[in-house]
Order: sequence, then structure tokens, then C-alpha cells
Amino acid sequence: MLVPGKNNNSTVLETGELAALVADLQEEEALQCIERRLAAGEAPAEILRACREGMRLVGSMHEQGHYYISGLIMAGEIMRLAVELLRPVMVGKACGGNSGRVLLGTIEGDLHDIGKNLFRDLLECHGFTVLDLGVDVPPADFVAAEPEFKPHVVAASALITDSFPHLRELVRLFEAGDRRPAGRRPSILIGGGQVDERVFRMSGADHWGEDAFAGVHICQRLMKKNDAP
Amino acid sequence: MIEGWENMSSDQRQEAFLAKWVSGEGIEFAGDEVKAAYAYRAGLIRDAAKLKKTPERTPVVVLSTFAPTMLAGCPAKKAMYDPEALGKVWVDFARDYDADTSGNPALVMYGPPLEILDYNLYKWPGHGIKEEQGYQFLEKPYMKAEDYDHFIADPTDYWFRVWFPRTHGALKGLAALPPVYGTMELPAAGPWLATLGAPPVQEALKALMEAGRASFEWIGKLLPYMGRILSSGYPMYAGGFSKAPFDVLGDSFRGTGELMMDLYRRPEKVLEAVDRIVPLMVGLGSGMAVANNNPLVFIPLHKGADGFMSNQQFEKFYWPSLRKVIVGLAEKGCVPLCFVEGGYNQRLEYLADLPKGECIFIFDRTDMAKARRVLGGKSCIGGGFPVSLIMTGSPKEVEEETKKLLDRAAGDGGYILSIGCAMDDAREDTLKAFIQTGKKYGKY
Ligand code: B12
Repeated sequence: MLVPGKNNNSTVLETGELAALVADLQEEEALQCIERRLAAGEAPAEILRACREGMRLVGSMHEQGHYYISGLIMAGEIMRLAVELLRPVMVGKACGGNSGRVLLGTIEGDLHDIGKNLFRDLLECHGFTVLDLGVDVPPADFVAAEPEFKPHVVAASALITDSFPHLRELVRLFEAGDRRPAGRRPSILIGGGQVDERVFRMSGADHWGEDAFAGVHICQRLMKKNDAP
Repeated sequence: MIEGWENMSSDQRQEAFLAKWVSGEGIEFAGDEVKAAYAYRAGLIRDAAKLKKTPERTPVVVLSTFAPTMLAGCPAKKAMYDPEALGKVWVDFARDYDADTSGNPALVMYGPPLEILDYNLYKWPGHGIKEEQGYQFLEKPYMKAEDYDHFIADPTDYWFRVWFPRTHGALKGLAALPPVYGTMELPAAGPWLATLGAPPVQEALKALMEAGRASFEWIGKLLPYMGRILSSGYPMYAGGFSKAPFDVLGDSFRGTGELMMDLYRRPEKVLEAVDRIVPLMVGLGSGMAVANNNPLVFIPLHKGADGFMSNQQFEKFYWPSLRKVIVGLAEKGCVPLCFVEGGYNQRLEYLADLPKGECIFIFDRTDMAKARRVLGGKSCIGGGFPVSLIMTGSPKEVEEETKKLLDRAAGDGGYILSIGCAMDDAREDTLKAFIQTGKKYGKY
């Protein structure tokens, strides 16, 4: 069982402590901890990693029957508030202008959107224009939104295994409907929760991002390629 | 009123109210035979519920919303807009399918008043969803976190002046009303009455008048059909309706997400609010039951199911107020019929903590053998038949499964055979196979 640290007056907190506070659903304490760490000048990426570690613990406690929907919802809210705290700092540290367009959504059958929203915020911080289709988005809706928005990247978030087949369907639809010269259809990027190398290969997507930061780097790389004659 | 009521225990009151119901008092039966059939069917339910006598067989109850009209090829929209078509289908359904009870067609509700009120709480056929599809709840946090104190101080005042304007587009004007309290004295009555005259309030009152008139006409058309269902020998499985206080708060006011977070953020407020709802839900259910001369009070249970919360949370936030509603209804002679949606495999021990034979639990996805083990001899149980088999199985498979379910759950009484779902859709051959098998093999 998890016992969160209670020595809140310490300014130098270990990563493990924040993760434990998140995992133990100590909303106020977790948010205060984030604020202290930000004030101490720590990189938001580090803090975010700690929060995600906490969420991973929440997930496994759910699997073991310690947490129920009530706990998952509370954890999700803590994560959302954490992102709100981190966001301005990330905007402040935005690394230069970029002008790619990313079409984003959580794939059909899946309602998780915390990670997707985080990825969206981070993209925007880095100068991308994002069209967010929301959650539970059928592959056909991504395709339908493409002609007008003309995205450079189509990005899908997926956290539940039941929805993985829809990722494959997404790729298939984009490939099938593609009459443009090779390499001119938007790149397809996937990520979220359990997406890994295996899911990536199964889906046939062009790229996958281990976390939101990796995802942004991929988008940046793709834009560079796009600029090349 | 029933003689000697004042001095009766809950059990005696239930017996008296049930006896009145079983007798078919006030119903004009076509003949003595039909009257006897009615008394037989209602008697099966009474015996199953009270656990004092093994009924001749298990009663067969089919919980349904849009299934009767769907089966008759009448689209959901027509059911909600044409009370005569609705009534006729339900009369035929009761006779042709011949289960032991009928539902109440009035709970299909009428579309026009919802339109007049610009009702936002549900989507209904033709209004946000397909004409063939049953209505759908639109859960949102209509009540804000900062509203708890107002709600707790006076739920009805909150209901009228805050919740109505947020959930019914045409009642926005009610937000301008001051509370009613000033009317207790002449000098303070003026402000309240004057506000009633303000144009937005007048608009809201007009909408209510119009919705009321439309609904009155509707029920006037539907009532004769409800009378025919009863007079052809089919008692109804619900005389009243009520809810678990936690579900009232979660379904219609805070929404699941917000309420689940409230369990961590403001647990005392949640506890105060659910306690405040208890007498309202007792009054709602018993009032309807008395008006309909039918002691059964239907209570669908939603957010206490396995998975939603831990047992500790259930024990603190969900069960105590629900238990008070159950006990409170029984004190009024009503018989709560809880429709336990989802699974309750981790919660059965809590349900066992009730006076013997005062409440019925119809289960959806709970393990029925376990339900029998834990609740047998304590409360009447029911349900457990998978609706998926009705939709996809063959009559033969349904027959087999029904027999197996009876073996697991029927015991020596105290069981009501039913499908674990308030059905919006069904298939004729399998549903009939279910009902007939129940009647044939449900004999004790
Ligand atoms: C919070 C939560 C919820 C909340 C969601 C609230 C919301 N608005 O999103 C609620 C309570 C509503 C919920 C519901 C359910 N959940 Co849930 N949930 C979680 C939980 C605990 C955390 C998810 C999270 O937000 N993590 C934090 C974020 C920041 O991480 P992330 O999403 O991975 O995103 C990061 C990266 O992956 C990346 N990223 C995300 N998207 C993308 C996209 C691209 C293109 C790229 C490049 C990167 C990227 O950016 C983020 C930052 O780096 C997880 C457990 C876990 N740790 O994953 C379970 C989990 C995902 N849920 C699960 C389940 C089963 C459900 C339910 C079915 C529960 C139920 N029994 O009812 C429902 C599903 C509803 C549905 N159809 O989707 C399972 C899934 C298991 C499986 N086999 O698939 C998990 C794994 C829990 C578990 N261990 O069982 N859940």
C-alpha cells in the first residue's frame, strides 16, 4: 500500500513523493508540491513525468481492485489540474515558431482525453495549429476533416486496447483514399497509454510517440522534412 | 384508509396494502374469472415478496420501456407522441405475451410537453436521436459545487429556482423568482407576487401551464388503456417510482464525474445532501403508490454498483440513505422493488441488512447463485436472465437457460423470474419462450 510523504515543508522533493501524492489522490498536497517544484525552477517535463508515474500507479491499483471509477476520475482531475499548472510554464519556454497543422483526436471507443489534451497544449506551445476532434472519434471523421484542414500530421491517441483495431482502420482509410503522389498524404502519428512498438507495428502508422514531448519532436522533424524541396 | 393502520408494524402495513392490491379493489373486471386471474398473479408477487408462503410458482415479470412498442413495429417516436397507439400496443402486449404483470405505459412519457419546456435532461426519439431509438439521459453537472448549501437548506427551493432554469430552457425565467418564504406575512408577500408578474417569469409560468394542459390531455387518453390492462387481469409491477438518494444527486444534479470527485473533495456535503433527499424519496414513492393503489415502488439503482466505488465508499455514501428510503417506504406499507443495475457481487452482504421480507431486489448482472445464498430467506430476489440471450439466442437456448436460472435462483420461494434489463427492444419468439418456460418450470 502506498504511503505518501508528508514532509511538505521540504522544498527539495523527490520524484517519488509527487508520484505517491498523485497516486494517493491527495489533490491539494500534490498540486502544492508541483507549485513548489516549479518555483524551485525544476523543468516542467520532469514534474510531468512524476505525475504520469503517479497515474501509472493509479492504473495498476485499479487493476488490483484497490481503486474504482471514483478513484480514477479523481486521479484524472488531479492530472488535469497539474497540466493547468504546468502549461503556462511550458508556453513560456516554447521553443520557437513553427507552423505545422496537426489533426488530433482520441480514437473511436475511447474516452480518455487527458493525455491527448496535454499533447495538444504542448503542440500549441510549440507553434503548431491543432484541430482537436475530441474523443471517441471514428476513423472516417479524421478522413472527413482532412481536405479542409490540410494537416501535415494526423495524430491519434489511444488508451484502451479494445480501440487498437480502429487505429489500424484509420491508417487503412488514409492509405485507401490516397490518390496523391507518394509521400504527400499526412503522416500518421499515434500515442497514448499503452501504445508501444508492437501496437505501432500492428497499426501500420508512420510514427509513434512514447510521450507528448517525443510526439512534438516527431512533428517538428516532419515539418523540417516537409520544408525540404 | 386501512383500519388499525396507526398501530401496525411495517410488515403488517405491507400485508394490508398488498391485500388491498391483490383484491383488485376499484378495478372493473370483465368477469369473475378475470378477477381471479388478477388476484392469482398479484398473489404470486405478494407471496414471493413477503417470504411467508411458497407461491404456487415463481411470478414472471418483464421490465420494459420501449420493448412492447418496438415489438409491435411502432417506432419509439410514435410511442411518445400518440398515446392511443401506445395504449393499444400495451394492452395487446399484456394479453399476447401473458407475463404475470404489465409495466406502466405512462413511463414512456409524452413528447409535446418536453418540447414546450425545452427539456434538456434527455434526448428523445426525433429530438437528438433517431426516431426508432428509446430516450437517453444527458448527464451533466447541472448543480455546481458551490450550490450544496442551498440544496441542503431547501432542496425544493433549489429545485425550482436553480435546477429548473438550468435543465428546462422554457423555465429560465424562474431564476428571477425570490424564495417563497416572504408570503407568510402580508408586508413581505408583495415582492414575491410582483416578481411573478415579470415577463420572463410569466413566460415560464405560461410554459408550465401549456405543458400541464398537454400532459393532462395525454393522460386522459392513456388512462382508459391502463384501465383495460388492469381489467383484463394484469397487475402492474410498479405503483410508484423512487430513487436512491446518491443516484438522485449523481444522475440529475452533480453528474457522475463531479459527484465521484466530491467523495474526495467535500464528503460531508455529499452525506448531508443524500440525507436531505431521503424523506423526499420516501414521499415521492409512497405518494404515487397510494394514488395508484399499488404498493410496489420501483427503484432503479445506478451508481453504487461494483466498479463505481469501493465497499468503504458504498458503506458510507450509498447504502445508508438508500436503506433509509427502503425502510421508510416499508413503514408506509409500500414494497420497494429495487432494480439493481450492473453487478452487485461485492455488495450483497449490505443488502442482507434489512428486515425480513420487506424489499424486493431484481438483479441485472449479479451472480444469482450467490444472491440466493446471501439474501435467501431475507429478501425476495429476482432477475438475472441475460437480455443478450433474448436478443441473439434461439427459443430453445432461452428455454434451457431459463431452466438453469430457476435451478440456481428460485429456491423455495422468494424469487421473481425476470430479465436483468428494462427492455427497449426484444424478440417475440425468445421473449415468449422465456415467459412460457418460466410459468411451466417455475412451479414449486
Ligand atoms: C484517468 C483514467 C480514466 C478517466 C479518464 C478521464 C479523462 N477525461 O480522460 C475515466 C475515469 C473517465 C476513465 C474511464 C475508463 N477507463 Co481509464 N484510466 C485512467 C488512468 C488512471 C489514467 C489515464 C491518464 O489520463 N493518464 C495520464 C496521461 C497524461 O497519460 P497518457 O494518456 O498516457 O498520455 C501521455 C502520453 O501517452 C502522451 N499521449 C497521449 N495521447 C497521445 C497521442 C499522440 C499522438 C502522442 C504522440 C502522444 C500521446 O501524452 C501524455 C503525456 O506524455 C488509466 C491508467 C493509466 N495510467 O494509463 C486508466 C486506463 C487507461 N483506463 C482503463 C479503463 C479500462 C477504463 C474504463 C473502461 C473503466 C471502466 N471499467 O469503466 C473507462 C473507459 C471509458 C472509455 N470508453 O474510454 C484501463 C485500460 C485497460 C485496457 N485494457 O485498455 C486503464 C489502463 C486502467 C487499468 N489499468 O485498467 N479512465
